[in-house]
Amino acid sequence: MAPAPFHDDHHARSAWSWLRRRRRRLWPLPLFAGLALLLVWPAAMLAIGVFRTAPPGMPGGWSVEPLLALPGSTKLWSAAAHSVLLALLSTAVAVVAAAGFAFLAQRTDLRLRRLVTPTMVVIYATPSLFHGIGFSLLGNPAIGFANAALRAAFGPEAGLVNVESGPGLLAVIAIRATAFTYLLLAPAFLALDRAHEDASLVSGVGRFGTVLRIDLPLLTPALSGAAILAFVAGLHSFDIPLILGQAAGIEVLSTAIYDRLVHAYPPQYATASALSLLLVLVAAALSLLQARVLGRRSFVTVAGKATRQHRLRLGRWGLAGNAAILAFVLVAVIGPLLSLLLGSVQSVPGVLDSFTLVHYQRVFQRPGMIDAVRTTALLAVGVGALAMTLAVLLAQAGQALPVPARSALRLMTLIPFAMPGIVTALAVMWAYVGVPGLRQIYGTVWMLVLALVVVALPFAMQAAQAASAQIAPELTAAARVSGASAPRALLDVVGRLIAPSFLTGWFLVAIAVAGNLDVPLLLGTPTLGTVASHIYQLQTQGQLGDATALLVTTMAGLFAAGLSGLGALRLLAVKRRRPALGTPRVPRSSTLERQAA
Amino acid sequence: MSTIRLDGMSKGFGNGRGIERLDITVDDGEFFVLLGPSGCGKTTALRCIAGLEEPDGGRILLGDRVVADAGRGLFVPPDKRDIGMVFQSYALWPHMTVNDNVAYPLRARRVGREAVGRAVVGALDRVGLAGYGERYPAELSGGQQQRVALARALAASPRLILFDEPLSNLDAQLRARLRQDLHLVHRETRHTAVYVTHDQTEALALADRVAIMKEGRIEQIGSPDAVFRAPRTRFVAEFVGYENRLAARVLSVDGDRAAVALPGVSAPLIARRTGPLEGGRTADLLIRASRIGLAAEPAAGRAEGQPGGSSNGLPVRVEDVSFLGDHHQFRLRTADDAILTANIPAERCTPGLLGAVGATLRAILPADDLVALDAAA
Repeated sequence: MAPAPFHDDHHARSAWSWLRRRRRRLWPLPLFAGLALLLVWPAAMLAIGVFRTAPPGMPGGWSVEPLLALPGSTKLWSAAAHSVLLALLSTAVAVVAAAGFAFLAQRTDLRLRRLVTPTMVVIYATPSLFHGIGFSLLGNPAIGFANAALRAAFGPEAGLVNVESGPGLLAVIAIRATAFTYLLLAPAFLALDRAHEDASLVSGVGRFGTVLRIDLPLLTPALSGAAILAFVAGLHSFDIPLILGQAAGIEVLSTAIYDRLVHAYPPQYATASALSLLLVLVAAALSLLQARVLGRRSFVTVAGKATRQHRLRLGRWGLAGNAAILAFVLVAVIGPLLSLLLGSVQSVPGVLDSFTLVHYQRVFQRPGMIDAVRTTALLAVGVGALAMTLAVLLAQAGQALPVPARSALRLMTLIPFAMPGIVTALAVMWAYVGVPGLRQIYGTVWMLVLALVVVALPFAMQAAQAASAQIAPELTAAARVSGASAPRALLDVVGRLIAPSFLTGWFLVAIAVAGNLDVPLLLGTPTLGTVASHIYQLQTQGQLGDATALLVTTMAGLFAAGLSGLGALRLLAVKRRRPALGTPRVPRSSTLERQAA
Repeated sequence: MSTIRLDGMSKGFGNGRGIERLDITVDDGEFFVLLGPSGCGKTTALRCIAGLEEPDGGRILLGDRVVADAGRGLFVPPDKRDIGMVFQSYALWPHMTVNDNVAYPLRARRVGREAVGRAVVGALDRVGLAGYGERYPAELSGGQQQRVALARALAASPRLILFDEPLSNLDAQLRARLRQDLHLVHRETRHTAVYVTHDQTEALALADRVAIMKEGRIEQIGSPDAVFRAPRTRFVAEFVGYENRLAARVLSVDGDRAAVALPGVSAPLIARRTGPLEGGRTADLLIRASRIGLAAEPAAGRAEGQPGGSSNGLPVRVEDVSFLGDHHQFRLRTADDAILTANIPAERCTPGLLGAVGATLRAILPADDLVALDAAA
């Protein structure tokens, strides 16, 4: 979509008529320009920042020294090794566990199967800050509730659980990765055509052989795609290594970047940028690979009509399956949740004999706390709406654009997938602090907005794509032939049909924004903080009780918001269903009414 | 010997649908068709024979071997039943080539390498796909995919082959071609076959014997000719293409003939009886649209639509005529306000007949084609 030649001798009138003539083909231009500004510009500035000798916005020269010094740092080598090891192992655990849970939930008649998907959604939606602090309260060697319970049950020498260790860190990251991977794999397991298995069985191959020779090869694209995404997520993990890894002295790449920016003096912007770029390039390469792998998935759906799904009766193995589900729910959800709830009402964490609400009183008297709550709420709602709107536009544009433009769009939206939050924050800093006129937004909430929209975009795009995929293009086409303009049709048909998914996505993004730690840690100021940055500060200051109380209050607030949103959705759904009775299922589009008028 | 015996077999799904005490015997080498509308239980019956469903009651015998006996808790899994099956969705494994798909049942039976190769070539040759072995299923058309599925079912030469609506995903032309091919292959190999379909043409063309199912029970079982010419219930008649139904009163019965009176028609009609019928009862008169003739009213001489037609007729008003290629379709209304559809071959349609919309004609219902059933049947 290159702009046509534009000669100087054309005066404004003909330029305008040219624009009008091309309007139909140029509509994606604002979208592309916005994306370039929001995504490409920061990424490019990050790359340039690698060679700058001064911090963003400061006059300075050029140098390749920090980049050349990189390979010589043993500390960085070990951080990189930790990152890769953590990502690899958590991916391996997650893919196996998620495949197991997906099989149990989607293909068997287990009683507890209905528990699996909600559990995974809850874990996926919960900010990792929650898991970091929750598991630290549960499995800390000194004060962890699990250790207290073990000691109470088996004596003071009972096996110590230590979550602040390599394996502990791995376990917590693997739990989150399992949820994430499960949500990617479950549809693939559900889509497995039972007829493919039946055909193998009647050919004379038993159950086990069928799984090995039919099911596994059919699932390979989904499995490998999910594995790549889980690996990238593992490389990107920040909050959990920050909270659990520090005590154990384990540094990963993302925390190393943070360390170079916040704890080094003077801050090593170039080094941090080089590390960031490395992370982004690896993740981008893997994301491209994943797109290729998943792109070939079409070969899975050869079958005509799918046969009825029959669930496998597990019989004796049912007990083991139910136990596995129950154990996962206990360890991954109930354990950290109970630890947080208990921890917030103990005067000293880990001591189970007192009860106090002092943390809840004290934490809200903290200076700047009320402002932080207000900022967080505003960010969650505002960034959620922005990111979801952008994501819906992207999803719709993706369907309407010609192939080369669509590929360009895909490439641009790869950037937020490849950038972890800490890198996004750094990139946004390079991009906007360096520009005269834009410099003023540094230290304001707008800086946070810019970075958080990028951070939230992958969540939002996932929700928007799932929603848009359900809407047949004919529905919009029908609105267009009825006389509605393209934006009108988008609003009347797509807008109304995806309203429920839009609200759900908005909520998920709001949670992710409220729980995000990387961005406020780097772009916040002493007077501009969010709830998440306060929680982290309290935690690092050793005020675990206050941190926990704040975390519990935040989660309760989000939960209440979710519940009321769900109620609103129900109302909306009831309202929409009523006129559908007896009439064809057409959205109540005003198009027809306008036509009649 | 590969006979099949279903012995009071039941299978419920807890939603009211299912099979109640099904008794079927299929002879060795027979092509047996289960015909019925969707949800009648025919596919469930087939899946029970395959071992893909476990019956709740009764027994299944393949040959002399009991493969399912709900009473004794005996159930032989599908991979131990030595069968072949063709699925509605083809169910070709997309990650395997055509050769690998067809070889799969042979390898499962641990056949030697060379024998596998020969059998695959033979099976592909038989379905007219020689040379397609290295392709992937996605690279084949729908009809070719279904041929591969058939080759796979034939490859290990099982004595029993099951077909689950194998042609329903294909377009009409292809369906006709593959139907003929299936018939040929069966004549050559003489395997026992159970074939599930909702398409009466397929049943007619393929079956040695056909069973018509409704709501988990068998309504009628017999040769296609018997079922199609002498339906014994209204459900079977309508399902096998008797489009027209009139309510009548039985005057008298004589052998397989019955004299019936239609309301508003003075002369009695003669109809053919296919089940028990008694004088004084209400009867359903059923006739195919293609068997109705049309003549000028009053019937002074020979009927126009039906050479040698009797006067077995009634006055009708022509409401509409539409052209359907090789025939014209007439929409007729009787004196009793019933609607009849008559298909008259194009070559027998005189201009007078075609211009008769709004006029009253005489519909000729030949006694041989007019089936009378007790209305309670």
